[in-house]
Amino acid sequence: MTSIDIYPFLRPSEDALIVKWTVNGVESIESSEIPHWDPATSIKIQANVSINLQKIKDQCKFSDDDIIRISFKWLSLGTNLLKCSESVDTPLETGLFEDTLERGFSTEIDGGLIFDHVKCSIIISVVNNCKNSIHPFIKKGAILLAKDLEINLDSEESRFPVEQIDFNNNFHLPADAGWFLDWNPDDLTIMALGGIRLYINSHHQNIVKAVTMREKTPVNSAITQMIKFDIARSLFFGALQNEKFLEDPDDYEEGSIGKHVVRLIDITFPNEDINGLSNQVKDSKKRQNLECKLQEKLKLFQELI
Amino acid sequence: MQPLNLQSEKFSATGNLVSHGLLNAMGRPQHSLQKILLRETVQNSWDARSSDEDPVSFSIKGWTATTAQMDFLKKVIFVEKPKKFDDLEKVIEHDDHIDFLVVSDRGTTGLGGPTRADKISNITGPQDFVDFLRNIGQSTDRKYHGGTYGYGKAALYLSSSIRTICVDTCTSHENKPQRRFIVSAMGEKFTIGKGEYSGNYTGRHWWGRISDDEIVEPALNSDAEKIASELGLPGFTSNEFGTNILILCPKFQDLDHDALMKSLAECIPWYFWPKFIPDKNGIVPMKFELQWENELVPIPDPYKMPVVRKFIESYENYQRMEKTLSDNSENGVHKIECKKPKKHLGKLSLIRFPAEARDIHINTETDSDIPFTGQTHHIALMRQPRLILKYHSGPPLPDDMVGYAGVFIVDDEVDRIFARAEPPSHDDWIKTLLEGTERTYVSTYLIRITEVLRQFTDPPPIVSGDEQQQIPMGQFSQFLAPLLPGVGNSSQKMIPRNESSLGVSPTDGRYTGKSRQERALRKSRHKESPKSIKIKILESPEVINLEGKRTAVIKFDFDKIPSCVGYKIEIDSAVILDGNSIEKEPPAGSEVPYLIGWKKADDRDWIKEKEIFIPSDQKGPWHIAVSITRDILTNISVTGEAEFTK
Repeated sequence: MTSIDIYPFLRPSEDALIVKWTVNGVESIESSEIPHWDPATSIKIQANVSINLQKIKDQCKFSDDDIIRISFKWLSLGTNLLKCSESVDTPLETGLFEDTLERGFSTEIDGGLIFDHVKCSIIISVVNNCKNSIHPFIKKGAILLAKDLEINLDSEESRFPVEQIDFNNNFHLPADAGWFLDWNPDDLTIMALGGIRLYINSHHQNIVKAVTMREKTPVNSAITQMIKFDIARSLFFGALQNEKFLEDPDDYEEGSIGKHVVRLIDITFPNEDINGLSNQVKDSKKRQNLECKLQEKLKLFQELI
Repeated sequence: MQPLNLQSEKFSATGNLVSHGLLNAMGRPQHSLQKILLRETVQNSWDARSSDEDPVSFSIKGWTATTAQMDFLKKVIFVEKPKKFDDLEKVIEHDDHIDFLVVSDRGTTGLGGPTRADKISNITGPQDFVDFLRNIGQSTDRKYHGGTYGYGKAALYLSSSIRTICVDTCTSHENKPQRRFIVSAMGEKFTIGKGEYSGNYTGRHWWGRISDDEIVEPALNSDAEKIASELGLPGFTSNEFGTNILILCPKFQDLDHDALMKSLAECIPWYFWPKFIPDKNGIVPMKFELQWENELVPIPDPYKMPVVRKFIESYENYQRMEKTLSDNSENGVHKIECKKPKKHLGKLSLIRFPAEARDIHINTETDSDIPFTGQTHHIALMRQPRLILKYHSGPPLPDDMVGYAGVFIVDDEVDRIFARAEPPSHDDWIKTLLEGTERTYVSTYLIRITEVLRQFTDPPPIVSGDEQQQIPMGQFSQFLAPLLPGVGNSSQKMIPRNESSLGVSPTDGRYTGKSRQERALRKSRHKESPKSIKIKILESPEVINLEGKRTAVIKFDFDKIPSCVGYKIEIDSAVILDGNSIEKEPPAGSEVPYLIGWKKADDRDWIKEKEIFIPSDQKGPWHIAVSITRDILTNISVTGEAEFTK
């Protein structure tokens, strides 16, 4: 089946509007995906537009009195927020316009306003009711052409639950600590997405600088690796000291903390028995060796870039 | 030396308070006796300070009386023995050695004023001697005094197993220093049936020098000084005023000397730490000393006690904001107000801090004197004299890793009201002791404090959006994702592993590829529709006016299929609503898009048939004319099938 949308008025051909999109400085065609996006990340969008005004006037049979509008808008499909960032009106009176209009539109969208997908559009619409146009059907507001860019914000990559809070304003936590892993090692049946969370102290400038991962420096790399190691160590030793976990490590639901930790242990120590690891945790000296092995397995500080 | 004279108080015709009435006035305080004694005497000393600029020295010294001191008690002090006072008599007659405990202050005014309660005095000002030794329940009329009802002195008598104290004071009398010494005891009430001394007695006794009108008065000046010296009481330098109170046979539950002194040493920083804080001139308001048998007992420095130190920090925070009228809740200082009637009741300063090892100075033998143990979630309540009334336990924070310490200080305008709400043990504010508006104030302060504490201890809202700069952490979150390896995530990339070690097979759902069955189904479907042809729309539809109707002309073509007899073309229409939804069933009475006709592109005339059949030998492209609804976006779908038989 082939389907086509028929507008109740004349429309110009698609080639009357050419848009070149760039998202965060990267050229994009029709769709784009932003790696590592999160709500704290804003998006810079640039649309360089080329419009054949003469073709539009001819094909739509506009009169000299008619005016068209070129608008740049974005719509977040996840939040249903719609914004017209910029628009420009162009009269179609002979002598007042050049055949081709070249123009750049740009906007920076706050990450807190968007979710899922963002659809950016350059839209050419009619400003007036075109009473004098040769073709009487066209009306004010009619959309003649639109070119879209869809930006996918929802990466397929999985994520660890991380949240920033100011430890200064949170009495649970020491004001100058860098991070805190909030979980309950005594109950591993809780779903990981609700039961485990890494809090980053937004007040701690060095930690903040590191976790944004914008600047790839050895210090930032060391900090993020240390946090990762610390989480792994907490998960390992927390679970390996949980008697219920040791009784039946395979008895956890998919998605539960217990299930994740079993996998983590299997991946990290594929040839070791969980109860054997637990015995190492209970023995202080062996525990030190196990921590040391964990450092190696997680490649702690092996690459500091 | 001439023995002291005894006077036992007789009931007057209108009645008196018996000695036990005073002793029972203390009620059943929640604190230990030694703590009450300490709180009462420190408070008295602070109230009696000679000036706000000079520090007050406070000491408690104990020792076992020497033989000479025992002899002096027997031969000078207690030569005359009261009736029905067996405890005293037993001690004096049979004990060779008893303990002395002396509570002393210096830098105070001493117990001045008249020495008798019955005579109209020309002396204006405080009547401390009379209030302390003669009257019972005398309320102070001085501003910012810690003590109020005058019952607290019962703690001194209760601390003596024979309910007897010796009072040695140096005060200013008629602008000259005057030393006064008197002994006071609270025995059992008794009756003497006949003889010179017949009558009902209250049980209160005084030993001193008898006056002309048969009233025992204190020994004065050199006489008093000599008596005090014989008993080993601390002396006074010239122009030094103050008081020594000797508690005979001190007894505090079953505490031995060491335990008693340790307990006192522990209480001092907990209840009097504001007096350790230097004033604006750098002067420490009170100096404390404890001694047993000439050996100093160390008093912990409140600045070095982790928990007490936090209350000091909270207090210092209060001091910084003390003079400001506005609410400084952002800085941790909250105004506590009664809303109806409107009255400022005081200020509450709160600080949070990470939990640390508990105060290392806790004395395990007497830990009942520690105001609280465990997590700190307490408010030190005090009035303007800045002596701790008690530690109010607020709601604990949800996380025991963090505690909070607060200080609430009553505003000076309502200080007297709160003072009157204190029981004799000065360890609480009790609203039922007051009436009317004053009761409202005292019942309100705790409600308001509780409100502030509830907000203070509730988990703070997660600050986000405009309120706090957000940190982009998506990449970091993905960096950590391998720590939660699960179905279909990227953990495998991050940690080299033996895939089988995960214990999950590739067919358990982790992989998102199509199943074998699904592929087979799609293949069979393909076989079921071999006649379909692909319609190609060649140009954007043109909107024209055809026979007075707004008409869309669609130009199309398709790839030919050999051996077929022709092609059946069908159209279907719908309107597109706002939001891109499609409506196929129009509202009643509405115009519906329909096929007007079709033709070869080059032909002039339209073939007006409802079905389109194009013979296989004809070549396109073709046009379809479809009526469109006015001002509505119409969706036309075109399908075609190759027919092999007519």
